[in-house]
Amino acid sequence: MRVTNSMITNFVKQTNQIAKTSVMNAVQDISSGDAIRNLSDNPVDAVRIVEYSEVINRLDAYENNLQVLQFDLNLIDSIMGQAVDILGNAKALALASVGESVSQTERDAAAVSARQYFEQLLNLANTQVDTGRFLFAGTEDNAAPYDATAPGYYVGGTNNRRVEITPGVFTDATVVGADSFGANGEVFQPLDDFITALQNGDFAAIDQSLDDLDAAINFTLLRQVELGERAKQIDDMDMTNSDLRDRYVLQRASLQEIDLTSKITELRAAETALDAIVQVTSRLMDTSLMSFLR
Amino acid sequence: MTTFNEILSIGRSGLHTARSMLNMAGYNIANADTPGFSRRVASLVAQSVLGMGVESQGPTAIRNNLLNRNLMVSYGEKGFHESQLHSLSIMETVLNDLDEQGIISHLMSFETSLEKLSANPSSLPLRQGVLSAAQSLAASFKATWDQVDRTKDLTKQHAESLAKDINIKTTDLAHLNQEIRSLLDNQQDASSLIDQRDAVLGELSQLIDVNAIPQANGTLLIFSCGQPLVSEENTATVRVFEQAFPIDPATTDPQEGTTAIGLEFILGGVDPDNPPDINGDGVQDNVDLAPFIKRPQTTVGGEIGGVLSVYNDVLEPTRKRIDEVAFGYATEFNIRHQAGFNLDDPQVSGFDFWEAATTFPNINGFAQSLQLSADVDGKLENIAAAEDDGTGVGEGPGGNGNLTFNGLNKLSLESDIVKAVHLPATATGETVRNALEGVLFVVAEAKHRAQVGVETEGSTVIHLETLLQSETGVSVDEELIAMTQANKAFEAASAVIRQADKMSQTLMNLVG
Repeated sequence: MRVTNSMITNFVKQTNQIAKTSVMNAVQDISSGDAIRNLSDNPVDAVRIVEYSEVINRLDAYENNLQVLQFDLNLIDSIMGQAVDILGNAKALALASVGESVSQTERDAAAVSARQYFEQLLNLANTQVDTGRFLFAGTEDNAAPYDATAPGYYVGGTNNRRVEITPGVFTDATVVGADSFGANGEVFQPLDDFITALQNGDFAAIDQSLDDLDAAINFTLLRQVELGERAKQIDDMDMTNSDLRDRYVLQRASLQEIDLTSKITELRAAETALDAIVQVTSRLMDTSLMSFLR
Repeated sequence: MTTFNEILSIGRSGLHTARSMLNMAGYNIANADTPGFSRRVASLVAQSVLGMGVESQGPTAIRNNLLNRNLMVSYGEKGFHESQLHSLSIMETVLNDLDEQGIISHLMSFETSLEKLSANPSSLPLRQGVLSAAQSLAASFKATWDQVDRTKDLTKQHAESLAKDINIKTTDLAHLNQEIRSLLDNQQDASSLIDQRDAVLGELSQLIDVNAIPQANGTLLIFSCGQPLVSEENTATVRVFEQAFPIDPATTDPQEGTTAIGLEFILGGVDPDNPPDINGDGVQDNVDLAPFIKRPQTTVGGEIGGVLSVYNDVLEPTRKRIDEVAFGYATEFNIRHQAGFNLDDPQVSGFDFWEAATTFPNINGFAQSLQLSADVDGKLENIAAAEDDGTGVGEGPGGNGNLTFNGLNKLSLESDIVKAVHLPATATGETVRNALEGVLFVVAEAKHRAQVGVETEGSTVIHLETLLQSETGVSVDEELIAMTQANKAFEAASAVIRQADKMSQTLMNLVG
């Protein structure tokens, strides 16, 4: 095949261009850290990356729900524990007030203490968080769920709000009276009755209060255990979601991110090839009969 | 018997021939880097009559028509793919969700804001978050639609500019045809003009696919898409036209609801921008162009073909799909939002979330105008998170049933709510995820194909150009050898003349 000057020039230009493009591509890949920067780099993988991002985004949304739940349930657990302590104190007071040897003055003082316990319990039952949301009101969480003057004491909602914590799995995000301080006076009625018995000097009623307060403590403990179980399930789901998220993140990274070791090796090879091509092609351009003919 | 004059004549022919050879070598060397130059060669012919010596015939340009034709085809293919890359690169950037700036990412952010609200529906900051995410989503739809529309305009302008270039080139080719024919008719060398014409033809073949047929009179008959583009000194004018495809409820053509651009040929030498004066009264007459206009049925090639293809097959369908996604999503979202209850006491329902001022299927530009409705814009309490509990009163302000169980927060991805405008309203829709990912894939795959096409055809072009160069190009070393050879021949011919002169002097001395 004849070799013309244009062929030599074009060949030098093209090979230099190709070698420089290889170096440039390797540098861009390493500096961005991404194997796929544009959709067209690999259309199929690009769409898969977007799909993985959608899933990760949704898992992050569930994570937000779980965090809110965990915060609430931890707080609820602490509150229920305090409620049990208060009821325990009330029972101790009842034990100390049983018997005819206790004077009315002492019973009046005990009634004042019992009233304070009642108010503390009511405050706990009407606990609010962040934007004023009441913890034990079910879906009607914009108003205090417990009212000392209302029949049964509970005026909150009867339905729980449900949120999704993992694809297709919903859980209660709120607590209603029946699951906490009682919807029909299970916790407040015994304490109220005890106060009345102390004020009236009703020994039999004071005696009855011991059993009623016991029942209230058991009710509260049982609710605390149930809520604790729910908290555990939430924690387990959080871990599962976390694992799932990590897997999807890894899958996405395997498509999107470069293997730095192989890319750096590729860059070295491209640079070596460029050096070789520049030297060889410059020699090719220098060689001519012009140097020899006179 | 040979006379001294005949010997001198032989020597003189040798000198002339050597000078011609030197001249040709010098001419070739001077044009070694001239694009499109075909090297010249001359053939030496020994004169049959004694006393006439040698004669050089030519110069003849070395050409290879087969390689030239193949190269023209490859130029066209490469131009087709290359011309698409600019528009497709813009589209790829606009739709790129890999950087989490595209519509899908904003849709996911909106969905997340609704999911967060479902955990605490009464929270005003979270409601504000929902409205902010919704406004970002609307802005994303608008920005994407605007950019697609702008790219369409630029692409159409590019096509019109290419049509003008084609017309300029065809005019040049017609002039060259005329001049070449004139030279050949006068038995003159037209090689330079033929080289020029080949170069212009190469440029034209990049712009539009052409087929060139050499004529006996030295001119080229050039066709494109089955239409005559250049015939002798006559040309056709190419022009870009736009055609709208209205929606017809009786048919299901995917082109309905879109506009397309195409190429038409105006034959008969009629210039639509410069109509002729037919009756000679000095005033240009209105000519009905219809009989002269031909619209090819075959796919147009070259750069202009690539631009038309990207407009019709990628940009306009993308614009249409984005409108369909925005409309489908906003409409279904509104239906479900209307069913939910707000935060007021008593709670109220029936609010639109998105402004929906148009009706299916006339939704061109819907994505560009998507915005929050007046019912919720700036009115946080009207986001309908609560579900009707069947008694006509909501769950209470803390309810989230309209978000979670009516799926407002999952509407973006999983519902078959995207309907195509060219299909009946009762046809099954596509999910938003599939619709948007489909758009991404079409653009990504089109660009990928264009890049591969440019690389592949680029390699073919290089290969063919190398082969052509090998045959028709100038090798300076070869020409230097030819120059040396001519120099030696010149010296030898000079020696012949000197010897003949000596012999005649000797003769003269004998009689003197």
